[in-house]
Amino acid sequence: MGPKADAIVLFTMTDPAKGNKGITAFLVPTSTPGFNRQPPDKKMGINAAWSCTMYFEDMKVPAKNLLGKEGEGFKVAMSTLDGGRIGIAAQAIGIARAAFEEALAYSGERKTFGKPIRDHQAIQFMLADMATEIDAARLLTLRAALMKDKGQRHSPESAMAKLYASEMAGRVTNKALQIHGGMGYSKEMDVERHVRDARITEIYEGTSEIQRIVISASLLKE
Amino acid sequence: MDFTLTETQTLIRDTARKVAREVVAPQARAVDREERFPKEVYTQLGELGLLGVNVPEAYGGAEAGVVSYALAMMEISAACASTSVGMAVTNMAAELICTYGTEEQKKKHVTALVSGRAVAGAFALSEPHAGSDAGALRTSATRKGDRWVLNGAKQWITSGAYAGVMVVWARTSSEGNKGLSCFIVEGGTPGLIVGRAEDKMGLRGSNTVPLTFESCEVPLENLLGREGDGFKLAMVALDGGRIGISAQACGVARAALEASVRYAKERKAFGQPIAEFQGLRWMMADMQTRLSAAELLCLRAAQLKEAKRPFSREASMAKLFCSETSNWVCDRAVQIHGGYGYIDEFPVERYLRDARVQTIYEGTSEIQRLVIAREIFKAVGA
Ligand SMILES: Cc1cc2nc3c(=O)[nH]c(=O)nc-3n(C[C@H](O)[C@H](O)[C@H](O)COP(=O)(O)OP(=O)(O)OC[C@H]3O[C@@H](n4cnc5c(N)ncnc54)[C@H](O)[C@@H]3O)c2cc1C
Repeated sequence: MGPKADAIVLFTMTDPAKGNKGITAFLVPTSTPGFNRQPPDKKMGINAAWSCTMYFEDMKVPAKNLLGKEGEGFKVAMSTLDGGRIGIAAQAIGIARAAFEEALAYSGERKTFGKPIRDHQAIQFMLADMATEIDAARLLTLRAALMKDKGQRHSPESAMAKLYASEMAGRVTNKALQIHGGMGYSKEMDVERHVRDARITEIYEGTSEIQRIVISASLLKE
Repeated sequence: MDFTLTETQTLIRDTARKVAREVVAPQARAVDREERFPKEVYTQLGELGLLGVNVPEAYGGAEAGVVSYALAMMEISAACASTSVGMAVTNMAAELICTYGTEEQKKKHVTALVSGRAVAGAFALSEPHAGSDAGALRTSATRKGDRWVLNGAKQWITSGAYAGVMVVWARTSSEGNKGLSCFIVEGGTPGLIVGRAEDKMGLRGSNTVPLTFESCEVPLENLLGREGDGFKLAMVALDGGRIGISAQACGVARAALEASVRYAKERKAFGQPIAEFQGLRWMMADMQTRLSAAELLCLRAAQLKEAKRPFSREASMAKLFCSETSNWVCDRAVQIHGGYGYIDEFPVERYLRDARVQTIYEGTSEIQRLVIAREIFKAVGA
C-alpha cells in the first residue's frame, strides 16, 4: 500500500561492513521531509493493492523511531517474513479454492459434444488434481500455523507451505481458466483475475527460489 | 529432416524481423495498454507480402511456402502477439479462399486480403454455444432467389470489427457436420452487426468481438466450396492455422527467454549477477531446450504441409507442445524477473498474458490431444 500509506517500516543499511548485522529498521511517517514516492506500479494483478518505488533524500528521522535495536533490522524482517509466509500460503490457497469452485460449477453448465464438459475424463482428471493439490497445500500451511501458535521454530515449514501453496495456486488457477475455454480469457469471468493474482504469490515475501534456499539450508544443517 | 533455410525463407524471415523490430515492437506496450488495434501495421505487412506468405503471386501473395510463413509468424509474434494473431487469421482466410475459391472469388477477395486493402481477414466459426464442438453451430443460411440469407450469432471473432473480408460458417441443413457450409461475407454488409469488443486478459490490442447476422444477405457466388462442405473446409483451415499459432507461441517464448537472459546478466543478488545461480541457469537451460523442441515440431508440421503430405497429427502435436511450452517459458521468465516481472515496465508479464490464450484458441490442448490420440489409433487400425 506504498502509494497510500501514512507510515512505513523502513529497512536501512547503517553499517555496510557488517552485512546483515548492519541492517536497521525505522518507523517513518510519510510526511517526513525528504520522503518521496513514485506513482503506483502498473501490475499484472492484485490491482487493488497498490505498490510503488520510494526514494529518500536527506530524510531526517528522530532516534526514537528506531524499531528494535540498531543492527537488528534483519532479525526483525526475517521474523515477520516467517509469519508472513504462512499468510501468503493461505492467500494462495484461497485464490486457488475460488478458481476451483468456479471451474467445478462451470464444468456442470457448459456442454460440448452433447454432454456437460465434466463428463469428459480430461476435465474430471483436471478437477481431481486440483482438489488434491489444494488439500496438500492446506495441510502444509496448517502445520506451519500450528507450530507458530505453539511458539516452535517453523522456518522450513513456513517456507515449504509458501513454496508449495504458491506454485499450486499457479497450476490450479491455470487449469480453472483452461476449463472455462475462451470464456476463461475474458474479464467477464473472475478466473483470469485469479490467475493474475496467484502469479505474485510465487514472488513476494521471498520468491520460490528463496524458499528452496531456506528449505535446503535447514536440511543440510542437520 | 533438413532445416537449412532456402534463400526465400531467409528473405522472408529477415523481412519480418526488420519490420518487427522497427515498427511492431516499439508500439507493442502501447497496443496492449491502450487496447489499440494496430490497423496501420497491417497495411505495411501487406506491402511486404506477409499477409499472404503462402499465397500465389498471381493473387498478390509472396508464394514463399508454409515454412516461410511459420518463420514470419515467429518474428512478428516475438514483437507483438496482438499484431500477429490478426496476421495469422488473414493468412488463413486468404489461403482458404485460394484453395477452395472460384477464380472470381480469388481475384476479388484474396487480392483484397493479401494487399492489406481489406485491413484484415476474419474467420467466423465459433458461436456462444459451439467452440470445441464446432459441428454444433446454429447460424443458418437459407437460399432466397439469388441470395443466401444468414441469421445467427458468432462469438470471439478476431479482427471482427475491422475485417474487410470474412469467412463465415453457417448451417444449410440440419444434417450435423454435413449440414455446414462456408460463405464469404464482406465487412459492412447490411445485417452484419458487430458487438462490443471483449475485455481480455491478454492480446489486448487484438479486436475480439461477437457478430450477429440479422437477415444478412450475400450473393449466391459467395458460397465458398460446395454446399455441405463447410466442416471439411473448417478442419483443413484449422490444421493449417495450428501451424500459425504454434509459430506464434514459439515467437513469444523466444522473446521471453531473451528478456530473461538479458535481465539475469544485469540483476544482482547476494553480490553476484543472478545469472550465476545454478537454480536460474538450469531454468534457462530447460527453457532453451523446450523452446528448440517446440520450434522443430512447428517447422516439421510446416514442411509436411508444404510438401503436400498429411500433417494433421503433426500440426496438433506442434500446437499442443508449442502453446504449453510458451506458457511455461513465459511463466519462468516472470519468475526470473522477480517483482519486476509483475509490473508492466518489463514486457514479460505481457508475454505471459498473451501466451495464455494459445492453449485455448484454434482448438484447446484437450482437443489437440483428442486429434493426436485418434491418429495414433487410426494408424494401428483401432
Ligand atoms: C482471444 C480469442 C480469439 C479467438 N478468435 C477466434 C476467431 O477468430 N474465430 C473463431 O471462430 N473462434 C475464435 N476463438 C474461439 C476459440 O477457438 C474457442 O474459444 C475455442 O475453440 C474453445 O471453445 P470454447 O471457448 O467454446 O470452450 P469449450 O469448447 O466450451 O471448452 C471448455 C473446456 O472443455 C474442454 N473440452 C471440450 N470438449 C472436450 C472433450 N471432448 N474432451 C475433453 N475436454 C473437452 C475444453 O478443452 C475446455 O477446457 C477465439 C477465442 C479467444 C479467447
